[in-house]
Amino acid sequence: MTAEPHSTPVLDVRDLVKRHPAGNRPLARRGGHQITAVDGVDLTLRHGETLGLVGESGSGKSSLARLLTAVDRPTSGEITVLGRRLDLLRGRRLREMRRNIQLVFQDPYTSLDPRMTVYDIVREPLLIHREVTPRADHRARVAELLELVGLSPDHASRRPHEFSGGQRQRIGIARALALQPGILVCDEPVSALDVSVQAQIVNLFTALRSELGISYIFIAHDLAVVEHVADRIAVMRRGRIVETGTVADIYDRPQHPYTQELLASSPDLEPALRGRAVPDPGYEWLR
Amino acid sequence: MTPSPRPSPPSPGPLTALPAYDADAPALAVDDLRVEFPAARGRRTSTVVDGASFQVTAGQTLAVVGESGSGKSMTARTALGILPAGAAVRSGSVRVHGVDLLTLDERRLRTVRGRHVAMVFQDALVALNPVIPVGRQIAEVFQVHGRAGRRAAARHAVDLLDRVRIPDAARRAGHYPHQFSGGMRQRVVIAMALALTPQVLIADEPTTALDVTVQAQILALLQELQDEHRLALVLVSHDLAVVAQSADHVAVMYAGQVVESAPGYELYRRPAHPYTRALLDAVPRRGRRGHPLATLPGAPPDPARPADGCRFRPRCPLARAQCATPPPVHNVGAQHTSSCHRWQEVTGS
Repeated sequence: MTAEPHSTPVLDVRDLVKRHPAGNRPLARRGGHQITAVDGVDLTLRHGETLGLVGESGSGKSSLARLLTAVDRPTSGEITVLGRRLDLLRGRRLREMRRNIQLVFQDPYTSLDPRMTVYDIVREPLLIHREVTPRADHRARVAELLELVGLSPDHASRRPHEFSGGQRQRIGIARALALQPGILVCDEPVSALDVSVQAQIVNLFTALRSELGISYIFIAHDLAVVEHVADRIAVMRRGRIVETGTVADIYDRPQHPYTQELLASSPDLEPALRGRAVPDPGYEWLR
Repeated sequence: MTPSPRPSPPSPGPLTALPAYDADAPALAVDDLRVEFPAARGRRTSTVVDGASFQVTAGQTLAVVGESGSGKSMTARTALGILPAGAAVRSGSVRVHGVDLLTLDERRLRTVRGRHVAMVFQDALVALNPVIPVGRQIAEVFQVHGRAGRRAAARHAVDLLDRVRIPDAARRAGHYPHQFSGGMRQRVVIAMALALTPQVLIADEPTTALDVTVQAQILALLQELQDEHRLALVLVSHDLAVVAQSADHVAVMYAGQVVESAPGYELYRRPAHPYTRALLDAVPRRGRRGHPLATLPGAPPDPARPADGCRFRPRCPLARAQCATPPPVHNVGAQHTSSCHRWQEVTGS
């Protein structure tokens, strides 16, 4: 499905740990009471690959996403992005490195500034990383990005409230793509969307992957969505990765009891649809 | 009738005393309900529920499924008389065992809530008072409705927490909402809803905020409680996969209308409305990896500017000229209706 075989790792994580002081009361910090959000995570993302990261709330998925995008710094461990140690970089070097690994947020309602126009939102990363696109080309580049995510360049002058949830998520994706990152970390990017819109965005991610050769970390709690987009899956629980494998390994032959429990509880249409001629003309009938 | 200024007027008596009450009538029957936000300050009238009808009998689960803006929550709220400010019921009826709640005054409606119809919301944290132990919040329900004194009410509260399978209920009754996990908190809210043994329980997205393993537990609990109490359960959800296991009957709403209504097994296997079919195809299904998902172009209509005729027409791949006239409700099978001119092409028959 991808342009190149998944061989070279673009992201490599070794024994990553993140501890927070428990609570944000001043005394909690002094008391030395700590919560371990990420507890010794190892993972590898290869070029052009999609790694699905599943787990329940509190399992450390989002904390891990923040470490991978250098929003937060790890307590210990190594993060290697495109051969460079992200965890060791500071200042200008770190800022440059961040270009390569961008975050797509869950909530398209709170992650876009309501006072900015779509043009300003998508262009903002270009103003921060001036070396990427010359100023004179910004307008053309934003138009190109909007088209890439299925929006019209005419939308550039509007503000977020004029868009539906699915369109806002497309704006967020356009912003994340502005710096031509090699890796996108998507934190529950479709869970706030309606089912029919969710499918549009899932398909967009798949199309962008073959078009741009992006590698994804795709975080979700919905196992059916992850099965659709991922090549490999990592199952996270209490800050640790309890099982990693190909989609077939995890879904058809889950080894860890927790993975088995997750699969057993995840809602699935398949039993209810049994007996229905599935893709008779399938989804083709809609076209 | 003038409302009494006294804090606790005598209860107007049970619904069962009303002449319209009929124990054999459906536990809840919504008929041709229309709810609007009237035009104001440059805003056009928005019809958020537009002729919705469905019913549910004791011991049955009805799933009301639709995307955001379909009017499913608004319909559910009408059954409790808790519409948001500005919304008005234009026509139709909401009958509980034959009694039309829309004809009752607020005082009598208050005795219906909790005692006959109870509701569980998506966000349990908002439904609970953060500074009162959960046991006391449940006990209050009995006291307010004059069902028990302080001590007995406290005992009942512990019983209820036990009935929703909260371990160590007697100790947990003294805990505050923040000391419970999301799933346990939803159990507390369900216990509170069941306090006065209602006949109808409306659960509005009861598991949307929960993790999948917890979601499965809460759905199983609702099912068990329904069996124990012969509840009429209305499950409002945006997700056809979540209700697939539990619904006896499914009503699919789109743009304020029930566009298809069918027994659960029938709806999933033989959908007769293009919207239902599109929704089913858009849900990622286990074991269908590698296939692109079917998508529905566009977005649901603005309730202030609905399309003429069939509401789904602008997004429908089957739309033809005839779809500009409102579709009638077709009987397409046993207890199976579809509001689509071209339903025969959808079922493929």
